[in-house]
Amino acid sequence: MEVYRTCLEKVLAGVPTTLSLTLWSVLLALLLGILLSFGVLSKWTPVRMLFSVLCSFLKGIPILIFLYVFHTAIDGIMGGIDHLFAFYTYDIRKPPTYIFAVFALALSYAPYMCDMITTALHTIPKGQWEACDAGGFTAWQKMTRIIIPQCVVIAIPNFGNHFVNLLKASSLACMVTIMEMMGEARNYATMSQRFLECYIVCAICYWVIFIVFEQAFRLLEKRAGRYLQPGVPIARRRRKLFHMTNTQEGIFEEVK
Amino acid sequence: MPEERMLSIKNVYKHFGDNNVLNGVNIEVNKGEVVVILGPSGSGKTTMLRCINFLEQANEGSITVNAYTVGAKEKSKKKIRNLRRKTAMVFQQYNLFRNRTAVENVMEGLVVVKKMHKEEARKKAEKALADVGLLEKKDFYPSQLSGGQQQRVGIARALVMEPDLLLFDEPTSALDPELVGEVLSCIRKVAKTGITMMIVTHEIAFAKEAATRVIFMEGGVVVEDGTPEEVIDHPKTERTQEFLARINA
Repeated sequence: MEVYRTCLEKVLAGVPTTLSLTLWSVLLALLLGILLSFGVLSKWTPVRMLFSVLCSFLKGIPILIFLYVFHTAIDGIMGGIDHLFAFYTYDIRKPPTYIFAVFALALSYAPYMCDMITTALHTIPKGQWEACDAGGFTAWQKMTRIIIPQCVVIAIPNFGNHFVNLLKASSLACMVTIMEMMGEARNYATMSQRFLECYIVCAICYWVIFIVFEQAFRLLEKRAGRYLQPGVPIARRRRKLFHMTNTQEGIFEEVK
Repeated sequence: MPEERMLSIKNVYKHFGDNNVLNGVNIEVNKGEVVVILGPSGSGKTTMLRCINFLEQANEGSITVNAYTVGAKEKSKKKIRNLRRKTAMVFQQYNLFRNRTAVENVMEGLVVVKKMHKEEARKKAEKALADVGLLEKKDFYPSQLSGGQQQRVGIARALVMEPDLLLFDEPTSALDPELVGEVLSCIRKVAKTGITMMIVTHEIAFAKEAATRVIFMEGGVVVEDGTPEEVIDHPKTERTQEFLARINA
Protein backbone atom coordinates (compact mmCIF):
# COMPACT_ATOMS: atom_id res chain seq x y z
CA MET A 1 0.00 0.00 0.00
CA GLU A 2 2.86 2.27 0.82
CA VAL A 3 4.00 2.24 -2.80
CA TYR A 4 0.57 3.27 -4.05
CA ARG A 5 0.33 6.13 -1.58
CA THR A 6 3.76 7.54 -2.30
CA CYS A 7 3.19 7.14 -5.99
CA LEU A 8 -0.17 8.90 -5.73
CA GLU A 9 1.51 11.78 -3.93
CA LYS A 10 4.12 12.02 -6.64
CA VAL A 11 1.59 11.88 -9.44
CA LEU A 12 -0.62 14.48 -7.77
CA ALA A 13 2.39 16.74 -7.55
CA GLY A 14 2.55 16.55 -11.34
CA VAL A 15 -1.11 17.47 -11.86
CA PRO A 16 -0.58 21.26 -11.98
CA THR A 17 2.08 20.85 -14.66
CA THR A 18 -0.14 18.56 -16.71
CA LEU A 19 -3.06 20.97 -16.44
CA SER A 20 -1.06 24.07 -17.26
CA LEU A 21 0.69 22.29 -20.12
CA THR A 22 -2.66 21.20 -21.52
CA LEU A 23 -4.27 24.58 -21.06
CA TRP A 24 -1.49 26.58 -22.67
CA SER A 25 -1.18 24.15 -25.57
CA VAL A 26 -4.91 24.19 -26.17
CA LEU A 27 -4.99 27.97 -26.19
CA LEU A 28 -1.99 28.20 -28.49
CA ALA A 29 -3.37 25.46 -30.73
CA LEU A 30 -6.65 27.33 -30.96
CA LEU A 31 -4.85 30.54 -31.86
CA LEU A 32 -2.77 28.78 -34.51
CA GLY A 33 -5.89 26.97 -35.69
CA ILE A 34 -7.65 30.30 -36.20
CA LEU A 35 -4.70 31.57 -38.23
CA LEU A 36 -4.63 28.37 -40.26
CA SER A 37 -8.36 28.59 -40.92
CA PHE A 38 -7.91 32.05 -42.40
CA GLY A 39 -5.43 30.52 -44.82
CA VAL A 40 -7.52 27.46 -45.58
CA LEU A 41 -10.61 29.59 -46.26
CA SER A 42 -8.72 32.18 -48.28
CA LYS A 43 -10.10 33.47 -51.57
CA TRP A 44 -6.75 32.95 -53.30
CA THR A 45 -6.18 29.42 -54.48
CA PRO A 46 -2.37 29.38 -53.97
CA VAL A 47 -2.76 30.50 -50.35
CA ARG A 48 -5.47 27.96 -49.82
CA MET A 49 -3.34 25.18 -51.28
CA LEU A 50 -0.32 26.19 -49.25
CA PHE A 51 -2.24 26.12 -46.00
CA SER A 52 -3.95 22.84 -46.83
CA VAL A 53 -0.57 21.26 -47.40
CA LEU A 54 0.72 22.80 -44.18
CA CYS A 55 -2.26 21.40 -42.26
CA SER A 56 -1.77 17.97 -43.72
CA PHE A 57 1.94 18.12 -42.90
CA LEU A 58 1.33 19.07 -39.26
CA LYS A 59 -1.37 16.41 -38.95
CA GLY A 60 0.80 13.67 -40.41
CA ILE A 61 3.64 13.90 -37.94
CA PRO A 62 3.63 12.10 -34.57
CA ILE A 63 3.62 14.40 -31.58
CA LEU A 64 6.67 12.69 -30.15
CA ILE A 65 8.74 13.76 -33.16
CA PHE A 66 7.62 17.35 -32.70
CA LEU A 67 8.70 17.14 -29.07
CA TYR A 68 12.09 15.63 -29.90
CA VAL A 69 12.77 18.02 -32.76
CA PHE A 70 11.92 21.05 -30.69
CA HIS A 71 13.86 19.69 -27.78
CA THR A 72 16.91 19.18 -29.92
CA ALA A 73 16.56 22.58 -31.49
CA ILE A 74 16.13 24.51 -28.26
CA ASP A 75 19.73 25.55 -27.86
CA GLY A 76 20.05 26.45 -31.49
CA ILE A 77 16.89 28.54 -31.57
CA MET A 78 17.38 30.22 -28.21
CA GLY A 79 21.02 30.90 -28.93
CA GLY A 80 20.08 32.38 -32.28
CA ILE A 81 17.46 34.66 -30.77
CA ASP A 82 19.92 35.63 -28.09
CA HIS A 83 22.47 36.63 -30.69
CA LEU A 84 20.05 38.29 -33.02
CA PHE A 85 18.68 40.69 -30.44
CA ALA A 86 21.95 40.85 -28.51
CA PHE A 87 20.36 39.87 -25.19
CA TYR A 88 23.21 37.60 -24.14
CA THR A 89 21.09 36.30 -21.29
CA TYR A 90 20.38 32.75 -22.41
CA ASP A 91 21.61 30.24 -19.89
CA ILE A 92 22.31 26.95 -21.62
CA ARG A 93 21.85 25.07 -18.36
CA LYS A 94 18.23 26.29 -18.07
CA PRO A 95 16.57 25.66 -21.41
CA PRO A 96 12.88 26.71 -21.61
CA THR A 97 11.81 23.13 -22.26
CA TYR A 98 8.29 23.77 -21.03
CA ILE A 99 7.60 26.50 -23.58
CA PHE A 100 8.94 24.38 -26.41
CA ALA A 101 6.80 21.46 -25.30
CA VAL A 102 3.78 23.75 -25.38
CA PHE A 103 4.69 24.76 -28.93
CA ALA A 104 5.19 21.16 -30.00
CA LEU A 105 1.81 20.07 -28.63
CA ALA A 106 0.09 23.16 -30.00
CA LEU A 107 1.54 22.69 -33.47
CA SER A 108 0.37 19.12 -33.72
CA TYR A 109 -3.13 20.06 -32.60
CA ALA A 110 -3.47 23.31 -34.57
CA PRO A 111 -4.69 21.60 -37.78
CA TYR A 112 -7.41 19.82 -35.80
CA MET A 113 -8.49 23.13 -34.36
CA CYS A 114 -8.48 24.53 -37.88
CA ASP A 115 -10.71 21.68 -39.06
CA MET A 116 -13.00 22.25 -36.13
CA ILE A 117 -13.39 25.93 -37.04
CA THR A 118 -13.97 25.40 -40.75
CA THR A 119 -16.48 22.61 -40.09
CA ALA A 120 -18.37 24.80 -37.66
CA LEU A 121 -18.42 27.66 -40.16
CA HIS A 122 -19.77 25.40 -42.86
CA THR A 123 -22.62 24.15 -40.69
CA ILE A 124 -24.03 27.67 -40.24
CA PRO A 125 -26.98 27.80 -42.67
CA LYS A 126 -26.60 30.14 -45.62
CA GLY A 127 -29.71 31.97 -44.49
CA GLN A 128 -27.95 33.26 -41.40
CA TRP A 129 -25.32 34.96 -43.53
CA GLU A 130 -27.91 36.29 -45.94
CA ALA A 131 -30.08 37.71 -43.17
CA CYS A 132 -27.07 39.70 -41.94
CA ASP A 133 -26.18 40.84 -45.45
CA ALA A 134 -29.73 41.87 -46.26
CA GLY A 135 -29.84 43.83 -43.01
CA GLY A 136 -26.80 45.85 -44.05
CA PHE A 137 -24.38 44.46 -41.47
CA THR A 138 -20.67 44.94 -42.04
CA ALA A 139 -18.60 41.78 -42.34
CA TRP A 140 -17.24 42.36 -38.84
CA GLN A 141 -20.70 42.82 -37.32
CA LYS A 142 -21.94 39.73 -39.10
CA MET A 143 -19.10 37.56 -37.83
CA THR A 144 -18.92 38.82 -34.25
CA ARG A 145 -22.62 39.05 -33.50
CA ILE A 146 -24.20 36.19 -35.41
CA ILE A 147 -21.83 33.75 -37.06
CA ILE A 148 -19.04 33.26 -34.51
CA PRO A 149 -21.38 32.91 -31.51
CA GLN A 150 -23.19 30.14 -33.37
CA CYS A 151 -19.90 28.57 -34.43
CA VAL A 152 -18.67 28.44 -30.85
CA VAL A 153 -21.73 26.50 -29.78
CA ILE A 154 -21.39 24.06 -32.66
CA ALA A 155 -17.67 23.59 -31.98
CA ILE A 156 -17.93 22.86 -28.25
CA PRO A 157 -18.28 19.05 -28.45
CA ASN A 158 -15.40 18.87 -30.91
CA PHE A 159 -13.31 21.19 -28.84
CA GLY A 160 -13.96 19.08 -25.77
CA ASN A 161 -12.69 16.02 -27.62
CA HIS A 162 -9.52 17.77 -28.70
CA PHE A 163 -9.03 19.10 -25.20
CA VAL A 164 -9.11 15.70 -23.52
CA ASN A 165 -7.01 14.21 -26.30
CA LEU A 166 -4.41 16.86 -25.74
CA LEU A 167 -4.62 16.25 -22.01
CA LYS A 168 -3.61 12.65 -22.64
CA ALA A 169 -1.06 13.58 -25.28
CA SER A 170 0.63 15.91 -22.81
CA SER A 171 1.93 12.78 -21.08
CA LEU A 172 4.39 12.49 -23.98
CA ALA A 173 6.11 15.60 -22.66
CA CYS A 174 7.76 13.44 -20.03
CA MET A 175 10.04 12.26 -22.83
CA VAL A 176 11.62 15.69 -22.94
CA THR A 177 12.22 15.88 -19.18
CA ILE A 178 9.04 17.68 -18.21
CA MET A 179 7.86 16.46 -14.85
CA GLU A 180 4.13 16.29 -15.34
CA MET A 181 2.00 13.39 -14.06
CA MET A 182 3.52 10.78 -16.33
CA GLY A 183 7.02 12.11 -15.72
CA GLU A 184 6.59 11.88 -11.99
CA ALA A 185 5.14 8.38 -12.23
CA ARG A 186 7.97 7.20 -14.45
CA ASN A 187 10.54 8.75 -12.20
CA TYR A 188 9.18 7.11 -9.09
CA ALA A 189 8.70 3.82 -10.89
CA THR A 190 12.37 3.73 -11.81
CA MET A 191 13.36 4.65 -8.30
CA SER A 192 11.14 2.11 -6.53
CA GLN A 193 11.31 -0.52 -9.31
CA ARG A 194 7.51 -0.90 -8.95
CA PHE A 195 6.54 -0.09 -12.54
CA LEU A 196 3.11 -1.67 -12.76
CA GLU A 197 1.78 -0.06 -9.59
CA CYS A 198 3.02 3.36 -10.55
CA TYR A 199 1.53 3.26 -14.03
CA ILE A 200 -1.80 2.01 -12.69
CA VAL A 201 -1.97 4.89 -10.22
CA CYS A 202 -1.06 7.32 -12.97
CA ALA A 203 -3.69 5.87 -15.30
CA ILE A 204 -6.41 6.22 -12.70
CA CYS A 205 -5.41 9.82 -12.06
CA TYR A 206 -5.67 10.59 -15.78
CA TRP A 207 -9.04 8.92 -15.90
CA VAL A 208 -10.39 11.02 -13.01
CA ILE A 209 -9.21 14.23 -14.61
CA PHE A 210 -10.66 13.08 -17.92
CA ILE A 211 -14.07 12.51 -16.32
CA VAL A 212 -14.04 15.97 -14.76
CA PHE A 213 -13.35 17.67 -18.08
CA GLU A 214 -15.69 15.46 -20.05
CA GLN A 215 -18.56 16.29 -17.73
CA ALA A 216 -17.64 19.96 -17.73
CA PHE A 217 -17.75 20.08 -21.52
CA ARG A 218 -21.01 18.16 -21.60
CA LEU A 219 -22.54 20.71 -19.24
CA LEU A 220 -21.15 23.57 -21.28
CA GLU A 221 -22.50 22.04 -24.46
CA LYS A 222 -25.96 21.70 -22.99
CA ARG A 223 -26.02 25.20 -21.64
CA ALA A 224 -24.56 26.95 -24.66
CA GLY A 225 -26.77 25.09 -27.11
CA ARG A 226 -30.00 25.70 -25.25
CA TYR A 227 -31.37 27.95 -27.98
CA LEU A 228 -31.39 25.05 -30.40
CA GLN A 229 -33.67 23.01 -28.18
CA PRO A 230 -37.40 23.50 -28.18
CA GLY A 231 -38.99 24.10 -24.81
CA VAL A 232 -39.63 26.80 -22.27
CA PRO A 233 -37.51 29.89 -22.90
CA ILE A 234 -34.56 30.20 -20.57
CA ALA A 235 -34.89 33.91 -19.94
CA ARG A 236 -38.35 33.40 -18.59
CA ARG A 237 -37.45 30.44 -16.43
CA ARG A 238 -34.63 32.36 -14.83
CA ARG A 239 -36.87 35.27 -14.02
CA LYS A 240 -39.39 32.98 -12.39
CA LEU A 241 -36.74 31.48 -10.14
CA PHE A 242 -35.61 34.94 -9.19
CA HIS A 243 -39.17 35.90 -8.44
CA MET A 244 -39.74 32.91 -6.17
CA THR A 245 -36.72 33.37 -4.00
CA ASN A 246 -37.06 37.11 -3.69
CA THR A 247 -40.65 37.91 -2.90
CA GLN A 248 -42.91 36.82 -0.09
CA GLU A 249 -45.57 35.90 -2.56
CA GLY A 250 -43.24 33.63 -4.47
CA ILE A 251 -42.11 31.71 -1.41
CA PHE A 252 -45.68 31.38 -0.26
CA GLU A 253 -46.66 29.86 -3.56
CA GLU A 254 -43.78 27.45 -3.36
CA VAL A 255 -44.86 26.27 0.13
CA LYS A 256 -48.46 25.84 -0.91
CA MET B 1 -49.44 64.81 -55.92
CA PRO B 2 -46.23 64.04 -57.79
CA GLU B 3 -45.36 60.39 -57.62
CA GLU B 4 -42.14 59.60 -55.81
CA ARG B 5 -40.00 56.93 -57.38
CA MET B 6 -38.91 54.37 -54.78
CA LEU B 7 -37.27 51.71 -56.91
CA SER B 8 -36.03 51.43 -60.44
CA ILE B 9 -34.55 48.29 -61.85
CA LYS B 10 -32.84 49.16 -65.10
CA ASN B 11 -31.94 46.60 -67.69
CA VAL B 12 -30.81 43.92 -65.24
CA TYR B 13 -29.20 40.80 -66.63
CA LYS B 14 -28.14 37.82 -64.54
CA HIS B 15 -26.77 34.48 -65.54
CA PHE B 16 -25.48 31.53 -63.54
CA GLY B 17 -22.91 30.00 -65.84
CA ASP B 18 -24.69 29.28 -69.10
CA ASN B 19 -28.10 29.65 -67.54
CA ASN B 20 -29.55 33.08 -68.34
CA VAL B 21 -31.96 33.81 -65.52
CA LEU B 22 -32.70 37.49 -66.03
CA ASN B 23 -32.74 38.88 -69.56
CA GLY B 24 -33.11 42.62 -69.19
CA VAL B 25 -35.60 43.36 -66.44
CA ASN B 26 -36.97 46.90 -66.18
CA ILE B 27 -39.30 47.78 -63.33
CA GLU B 28 -40.21 51.13 -61.80
CA VAL B 29 -42.02 51.27 -58.48
CA ASN B 30 -43.49 54.37 -56.90
CA LYS B 31 -43.79 55.11 -53.23
CA GLY B 32 -46.57 53.26 -51.46
CA GLU B 33 -47.13 50.67 -54.16
CA VAL B 34 -47.64 47.04 -53.18
CA VAL B 35 -46.23 45.06 -56.06
CA VAL B 36 -46.86 41.33 -56.30
CA ILE B 37 -44.67 39.37 -58.67
CA LEU B 38 -46.12 36.23 -60.16
CA GLY B 39 -44.67 33.71 -62.52
CA PRO B 40 -43.92 30.04 -63.01
CA SER B 41 -40.96 28.56 -61.18
CA GLY B 42 -37.70 29.27 -62.94
CA SER B 43 -39.00 32.55 -64.30
CA GLY B 44 -36.41 34.47 -62.32
CA LYS B 45 -38.71 36.30 -59.93
CA THR B 46 -36.83 35.35 -56.77
CA THR B 47 -33.50 36.08 -58.45
CA MET B 48 -34.82 39.46 -59.51
CA LEU B 49 -35.86 40.23 -55.94
CA ARG B 50 -32.47 39.13 -54.61
CA CYS B 51 -30.74 41.30 -57.18
CA ILE B 52 -32.44 44.36 -55.69
CA ASN B 53 -30.48 44.06 -52.44
CA PHE B 54 -27.49 42.42 -54.11
CA LEU B 55 -27.84 39.03 -52.43
CA GLU B 56 -27.39 38.02 -56.03
CA GLN B 57 -25.13 40.33 -57.95
CA ALA B 58 -26.52 41.26 -61.33
CA ASN B 59 -24.13 40.96 -64.26
CA GLU B 60 -25.48 44.06 -65.95
CA GLY B 61 -27.84 46.90 -65.20
CA SER B 62 -28.43 49.08 -62.20
CA ILE B 63 -30.65 49.28 -59.14
CA THR B 64 -31.92 52.53 -57.66
CA VAL B 65 -33.64 52.61 -54.29
CA ASN B 66 -34.93 55.99 -53.15
CA ALA B 67 -32.52 57.90 -55.39
CA TYR B 68 -29.49 55.82 -54.41
CA THR B 69 -28.10 53.98 -57.41
CA VAL B 70 -25.73 51.05 -57.51
CA GLY B 71 -24.75 49.68 -60.89
CA ALA B 72 -23.62 46.15 -61.60
CA LYS B 73 -20.37 47.55 -62.98
CA GLU B 74 -19.64 50.22 -60.38
CA LYS B 75 -20.36 48.55 -57.09
CA SER B 76 -18.39 48.45 -53.88
CA LYS B 77 -19.01 46.76 -50.55
CA LYS B 78 -19.85 50.09 -49.01
CA LYS B 79 -22.29 51.12 -51.75
CA ILE B 80 -24.02 47.77 -51.59
CA ARG B 81 -24.30 48.09 -47.82
CA ASN B 82 -25.81 51.55 -48.11
CA LEU B 83 -28.34 50.27 -50.61
CA ARG B 84 -29.18 47.30 -48.40
CA ARG B 85 -29.83 49.62 -45.48
CA LYS B 86 -32.62 51.25 -47.47
CA THR B 87 -34.32 47.90 -47.91
CA ALA B 88 -35.37 45.02 -45.69
CA MET B 89 -36.11 41.47 -46.65
CA VAL B 90 -38.43 38.75 -45.41
CA PHE B 91 -37.14 35.33 -46.40
CA GLN B 92 -38.82 32.15 -47.48
CA GLN B 93 -36.99 30.21 -44.76
CA TYR B 94 -37.47 33.06 -42.20
CA ASN B 95 -33.71 33.13 -41.48
CA LEU B 96 -34.13 34.44 -37.96
CA PHE B 97 -30.87 34.65 -36.03
CA ARG B 98 -30.87 31.33 -34.20
CA ASN B 99 -28.83 32.60 -31.28
CA ARG B 100 -31.20 35.46 -30.56
CA THR B 101 -34.65 35.48 -28.95
CA ALA B 102 -37.59 36.93 -30.85
CA VAL B 103 -37.18 40.39 -29.38
CA GLU B 104 -33.40 40.30 -29.81
CA ASN B 105 -33.90 39.37 -33.46
CA VAL B 106 -35.99 42.47 -33.96
CA MET B 107 -33.56 44.63 -31.97
CA GLU B 108 -30.45 43.42 -33.72
CA GLY B 109 -30.62 45.69 -36.75
CA LEU B 110 -31.53 48.72 -34.68
CA VAL B 111 -28.58 48.21 -32.36
CA VAL B 112 -26.04 47.10 -34.95
CA VAL B 113 -26.92 49.09 -38.03
CA LYS B 114 -28.78 52.10 -36.63
CA LYS B 115 -26.57 52.30 -33.52
CA MET B 116 -29.63 52.77 -31.35
CA HIS B 117 -29.36 52.53 -27.59
CA LYS B 118 -30.25 49.05 -26.34
CA GLU B 119 -33.15 50.03 -24.09
CA GLU B 120 -34.69 52.24 -26.74
CA ALA B 121 -34.27 49.48 -29.32
CA ARG B 122 -35.89 46.95 -27.01
CA LYS B 123 -38.92 49.19 -26.54
CA LYS B 124 -39.25 49.68 -30.26
CA ALA B 125 -38.79 45.98 -30.91
CA GLU B 126 -41.45 45.07 -28.38
CA LYS B 127 -43.84 47.45 -30.05
CA ALA B 128 -43.08 45.87 -33.42
CA LEU B 129 -43.66 42.39 -31.97
CA ALA B 130 -46.95 43.58 -30.51
CA ASP B 131 -47.92 44.79 -33.99
CA VAL B 132 -47.52 41.27 -35.36
CA GLY B 133 -49.26 39.85 -32.29
CA LEU B 134 -46.28 38.07 -30.76
CA LEU B 135 -45.40 40.14 -27.72
CA GLU B 136 -45.94 37.21 -25.35
CA LYS B 137 -43.37 35.18 -27.33
CA LYS B 138 -40.63 37.78 -27.12
CA ASP B 139 -38.26 35.68 -25.02
CA PHE B 140 -38.61 32.56 -27.16
CA TYR B 141 -35.83 31.41 -29.43
CA PRO B 142 -36.71 30.79 -33.09
CA SER B 143 -36.45 27.02 -32.54
CA GLN B 144 -39.25 27.33 -30.00
CA LEU B 145 -41.65 29.05 -32.38
CA SER B 146 -43.88 27.69 -35.13
CA GLY B 147 -43.11 28.53 -38.74
CA GLY B 148 -45.87 31.11 -38.89
CA GLN B 149 -44.68 32.75 -35.71
CA GLN B 150 -41.10 32.80 -36.97
CA GLN B 151 -42.20 34.45 -40.17
CA ARG B 152 -44.15 37.09 -38.26
CA VAL B 153 -41.03 37.81 -36.22
CA GLY B 154 -39.20 38.07 -39.54
CA ILE B 155 -41.74 40.63 -40.70
CA ALA B 156 -41.37 42.58 -37.45
CA ARG B 157 -37.59 42.48 -37.87
CA ALA B 158 -37.89 43.95 -41.35
CA LEU B 159 -40.51 46.54 -40.42
CA VAL B 160 -38.72 47.89 -37.39
CA MET B 161 -35.90 49.14 -39.60
CA GLU B 162 -38.38 51.46 -41.34
CA PRO B 163 -37.04 50.60 -44.79
CA ASP B 164 -37.87 52.53 -47.94
CA LEU B 165 -38.59 49.25 -49.63
CA LEU B 166 -39.74 45.98 -48.12
CA LEU B 167 -38.97 42.78 -50.02
CA PHE B 168 -40.83 39.51 -49.47
CA ASP B 169 -39.30 36.39 -50.97
CA GLU B 170 -42.07 33.78 -51.06
CA PRO B 171 -42.97 34.46 -47.42
CA THR B 172 -45.52 31.65 -47.17
CA SER B 173 -43.99 28.94 -49.36
CA ALA B 174 -42.25 27.11 -46.52
CA LEU B 175 -45.24 27.17 -44.22
CA ASP B 176 -47.76 24.49 -43.34
CA PRO B 177 -51.06 25.31 -45.05
CA GLU B 178 -52.83 26.12 -41.80
CA LEU B 179 -50.19 28.69 -40.89
CA VAL B 180 -50.31 30.61 -44.18
CA GLY B 181 -53.35 32.62 -43.11
CA GLU B 182 -51.76 34.28 -40.09
CA VAL B 183 -48.75 35.40 -42.09
CA LEU B 184 -50.82 36.69 -45.01
CA SER B 185 -53.09 38.69 -42.73
CA CYS B 186 -49.96 40.10 -41.13
CA ILE B 187 -48.61 41.17 -44.52
CA ARG B 188 -52.01 42.59 -45.43
CA LYS B 189 -51.87 44.77 -42.33
CA VAL B 190 -48.40 45.96 -43.24
CA ALA B 191 -49.54 46.76 -46.78
CA LYS B 192 -52.16 49.14 -45.41
CA THR B 193 -49.49 51.27 -43.69
CA GLY B 194 -48.41 52.72 -47.03
CA ILE B 195 -44.93 51.22 -47.08
CA THR B 196 -43.57 50.29 -50.50
CA MET B 197 -43.49 46.51 -50.86
CA MET B 198 -42.49 43.94 -53.37
CA ILE B 199 -43.80 40.43 -52.85
CA VAL B 200 -42.89 37.28 -54.71
CA THR B 201 -45.64 34.77 -54.05
CA HIS B 202 -47.82 32.01 -55.42
CA GLU B 203 -50.89 33.17 -53.53
CA ILE B 204 -53.05 34.50 -56.36
CA ALA B 205 -56.02 35.29 -54.15
CA PHE B 206 -53.81 37.30 -51.86
CA ALA B 207 -52.28 39.14 -54.80
CA LYS B 208 -55.72 40.08 -56.04
CA GLU B 209 -56.87 41.75 -52.86
CA ALA B 210 -53.67 43.13 -51.29
CA ALA B 211 -51.66 44.27 -54.30
CA THR B 212 -51.95 47.60 -56.02
CA ARG B 213 -50.01 46.25 -58.94
CA VAL B 214 -49.17 42.82 -60.30
CA ILE B 215 -46.17 41.92 -62.42
CA PHE B 216 -46.03 38.67 -64.33
CA MET B 217 -42.59 37.34 -65.18
CA GLU B 218 -41.49 34.54 -67.41
CA GLY B 219 -38.19 33.56 -68.95
CA GLY B 220 -36.35 36.29 -67.12
CA VAL B 221 -38.39 39.20 -68.46
CA VAL B 222 -41.48 41.12 -67.40
CA VAL B 223 -44.35 39.82 -69.51
CA GLU B 224 -47.24 41.73 -68.06
CA ASP B 225 -47.54 44.63 -65.67
CA GLY B 226 -50.70 46.30 -64.39
CA THR B 227 -53.39 46.42 -61.73
CA PRO B 228 -54.53 43.08 -60.24
CA GLU B 229 -57.73 43.28 -62.31
CA GLU B 230 -55.82 43.76 -65.52
CA VAL B 231 -53.25 41.05 -65.00
CA ILE B 232 -55.15 38.42 -63.06
CA ASP B 233 -58.71 38.84 -64.32
CA HIS B 234 -58.05 40.02 -67.85
CA PRO B 235 -54.58 38.91 -68.86
CA LYS B 236 -53.54 40.15 -72.27
CA THR B 237 -50.75 37.77 -73.14
CA GLU B 238 -51.15 34.12 -73.84
CA ARG B 239 -48.44 33.07 -71.40
CA THR B 240 -50.12 34.80 -68.48
CA GLN B 241 -53.43 33.22 -69.42
CA GLU B 242 -51.83 29.79 -69.55
CA PHE B 243 -50.15 30.24 -66.18
CA LEU B 244 -53.32 31.42 -64.47
CA ALA B 245 -55.35 28.64 -66.05
CA ARG B 246 -52.89 26.08 -64.77
CA ILE B 247 -52.98 27.53 -61.25
CA ASN B 248 -56.76 27.82 -61.11
CA ALA B 249 -57.29 24.34 -62.48
